[in-house]
Amino acid sequence: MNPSNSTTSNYVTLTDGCDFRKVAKKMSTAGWAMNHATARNVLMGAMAKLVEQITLGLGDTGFAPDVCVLKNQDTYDSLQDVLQQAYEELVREGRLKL
Amino acid sequence: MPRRIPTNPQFDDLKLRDLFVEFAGTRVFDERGKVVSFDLVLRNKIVERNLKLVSFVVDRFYKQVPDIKTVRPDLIQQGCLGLMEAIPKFEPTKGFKFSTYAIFWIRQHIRKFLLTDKATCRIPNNVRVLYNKILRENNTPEAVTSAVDALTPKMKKNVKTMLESKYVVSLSDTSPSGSLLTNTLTAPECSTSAEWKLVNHETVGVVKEALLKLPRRDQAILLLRYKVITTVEQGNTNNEPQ
Repeated sequence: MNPSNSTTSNYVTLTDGCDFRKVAKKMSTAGWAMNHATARNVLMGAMAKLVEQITLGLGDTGFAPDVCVLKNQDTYDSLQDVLQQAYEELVREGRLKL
Repeated sequence: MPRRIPTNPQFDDLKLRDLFVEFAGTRVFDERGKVVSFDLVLRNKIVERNLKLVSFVVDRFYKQVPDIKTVRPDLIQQGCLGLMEAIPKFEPTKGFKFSTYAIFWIRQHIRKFLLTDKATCRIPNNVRVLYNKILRENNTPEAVTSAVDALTPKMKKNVKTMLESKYVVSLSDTSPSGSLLTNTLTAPECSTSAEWKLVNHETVGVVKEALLKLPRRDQAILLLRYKVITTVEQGNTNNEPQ
């Protein structure tokens, strides 16, 4: 079956993102040894945690991020600009250093 | 299992080239050089000899067509029409194999069928050609927009509709929380960037707090994936959450 037609996949494509092999390579260089599959799994976990925290912060209690939301391409795309802005502000405030 | 097309044994003794030479002699041309009439019996003989070529083309080039099992007979039918069109136009004296020439016509008929009759929404050929040309020649969205603006009003409307249809979002997503999340994080269509920054200030605050609650490894992977950062500093100590 053509992967692009798959409706059961748990992953979505990021139109302007860095691929998992590059992410894994950079992380391994920084001291966290991992391969692309681990990078993908960690990202999925991080996304779930992030979405949960954001929805809690927005006042939507009792929400558990399910596959439906994590599979949603819009969720990923919409985070792009906000994450950039949040990271820049955190670096400016000196609360985050990567 | 798709049904195999049987070969007719009564034609096996005749060489295809001889058939073509015989057929070429029966063709009648008009003053423009177009074929007006030909021997139908001979044409049908050649078609029967080359039916396997059509099924080969369908299996070779159109395996990825959605729902191919049900569409395959239609594709073979269209391919046969292409084959029938190729035979009178083929020149056996030029020295090329017939299959080389016929595959072009078979593929052309199948492609035309898939784009016009089988498509969900029929798009006129001239609009599709223009749309593909614009996308091929312009790499940036700004260049595409300016190229579309230069068209005549009618064509502009058609091509714009095609461009917009690329970004249609599925209505199947019914998760209310997902919609809330997406709507909150995405900029409203009509707002200016300054207004969006004001509205967005609270959302960014929430995202900041959520980001800080993640372990450092998760933060790094998330930001690398989104290309917010390009490198990570050496910093994996034993105290860091893994």
